[in-house]
Amino acid sequence: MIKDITLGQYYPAESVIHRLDPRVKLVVTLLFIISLFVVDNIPGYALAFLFLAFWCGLSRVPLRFMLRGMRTIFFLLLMTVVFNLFLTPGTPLVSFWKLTITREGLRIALLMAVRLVFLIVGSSVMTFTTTPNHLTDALEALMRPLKRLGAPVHEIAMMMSIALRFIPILMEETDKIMKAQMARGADFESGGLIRRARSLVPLLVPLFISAFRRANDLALAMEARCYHGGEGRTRMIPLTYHARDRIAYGLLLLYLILAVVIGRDIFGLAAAIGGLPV
Amino acid sequence: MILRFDHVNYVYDADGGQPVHALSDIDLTIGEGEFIGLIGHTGSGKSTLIQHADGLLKPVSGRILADGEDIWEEKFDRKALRARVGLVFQYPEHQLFEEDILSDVCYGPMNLGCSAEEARERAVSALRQVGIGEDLFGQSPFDLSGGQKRRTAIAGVLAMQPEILILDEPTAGLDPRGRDEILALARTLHEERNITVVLVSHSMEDIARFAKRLLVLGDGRLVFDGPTGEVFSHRAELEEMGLEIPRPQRLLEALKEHGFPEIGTGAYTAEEAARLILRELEKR
Repeated sequence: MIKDITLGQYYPAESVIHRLDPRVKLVVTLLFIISLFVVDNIPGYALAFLFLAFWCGLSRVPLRFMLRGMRTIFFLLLMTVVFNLFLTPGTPLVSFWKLTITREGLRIALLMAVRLVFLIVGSSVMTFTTTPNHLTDALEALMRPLKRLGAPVHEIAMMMSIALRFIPILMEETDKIMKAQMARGADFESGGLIRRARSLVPLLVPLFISAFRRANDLALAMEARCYHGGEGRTRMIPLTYHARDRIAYGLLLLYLILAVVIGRDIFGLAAAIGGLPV
Repeated sequence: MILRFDHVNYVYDADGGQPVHALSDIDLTIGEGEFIGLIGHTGSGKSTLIQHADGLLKPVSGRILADGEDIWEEKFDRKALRARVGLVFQYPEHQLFEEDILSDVCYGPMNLGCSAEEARERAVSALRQVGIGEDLFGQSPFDLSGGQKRRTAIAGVLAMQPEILILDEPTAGLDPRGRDEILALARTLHEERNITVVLVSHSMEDIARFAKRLLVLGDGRLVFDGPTGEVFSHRAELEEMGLEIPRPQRLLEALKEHGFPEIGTGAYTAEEAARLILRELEKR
């Protein structure tokens, strides 16, 4: 049940994407997401699809893994589609009972769905191919300019990596406590809302206590190894750009230019060719 | 109650990336009034096995029978099973949650549908059995010492009045005194109340002292199942699995190799080994 959440899970494999510098992956993901909101026509989405397919293909993460993450956002997707489909004013296309599907609604609903799916798949490639530690390293490196403004960049990155590290530990702990209480006759599934909420107390109290205990132990262990924050701290594996990273940046730039040119139809090409669907 | 494992298989992450075969074709019977030791290396499937006994995990194939009834039949009442099979997890004190000890121990009986009064009665008697005095009943479980916390948690399971008590590494992390208290408790429950006890432990000495029958798991398979002495006579096989025979027996075998060829080696508790050594010395 808990194991179904694949969003944000590392998938070990040997691929170019796995070897890319995490900063590159973070920048690619961010700009790709932004590009999805810049393009607003079908050729633009086709381009985004090509880019995404290329990106996914290189990562060697099985497609079913990526799609498994979709299950968690299925309802969000469904709601978006339904609301856009029925609530967008415009030229009526089909209408039954009190509901009307408009041409504009259909278009927006479809584009929104595609946009969401691309967004999730695009960002899951990053989390599938990058360990949480690399990811926070990249975040720290990219946020470094904010340090001048007095932001505790290193501390934020450290907190994030600890939080990420603790997710599987706490899930395991939850499973263990749940079983222990079930062995004492606990029932987490039946009863009304209030009864069910109350039945969580024997789960949550031990979970919180264990989280505090672990946090305490970790703090002690870090202090025992003389951790004192980011000042003057060097890295065991410093982040350095390689040729493949530069190529990736180049391809990203090319994609972005094309996305703006095609996706926004800057030169009016679509109109010139004679009314490609917009 | 007689609990039977009928060719049980279990696979973790059956539909995911890397399936792990945690239990392979486990076939065994836990009879009434037995004291069974369960040993095996980390990851050998001990925890998985005992969770099956309590109906917390469902076998991928095979059946688990409680007095002949399949516990995964649709009509079977697994909650009632969990009362009859008391499972004490590793570090059971981590599951304490109530404001005072007495209410925490009442949690199990209350879940079984006992009245508040009966739950209280059962809790008081369970706490007495584990040696927690009445003066502590109103205290927060978090203010107790490590050994007291563990005994309170065990009382939480005993209050459900199980017929089979499964203890998973009940002495882990306790000082020698706490350890002795827990083991003495297991023995008393077995001898005076005729409760079936299954003791999971890393300590061969503890197992040797108490268990009459020994189960050895290796890589999810039941490698040995027999009287404790007989299982410990398979020294080479056990050591190959990363398990050691009890120290007294090792001492006797070393003596046999180094100048006492006559000495018996069939003893696995310190007392028996001492007797054999004395007998050998008297001969000289």
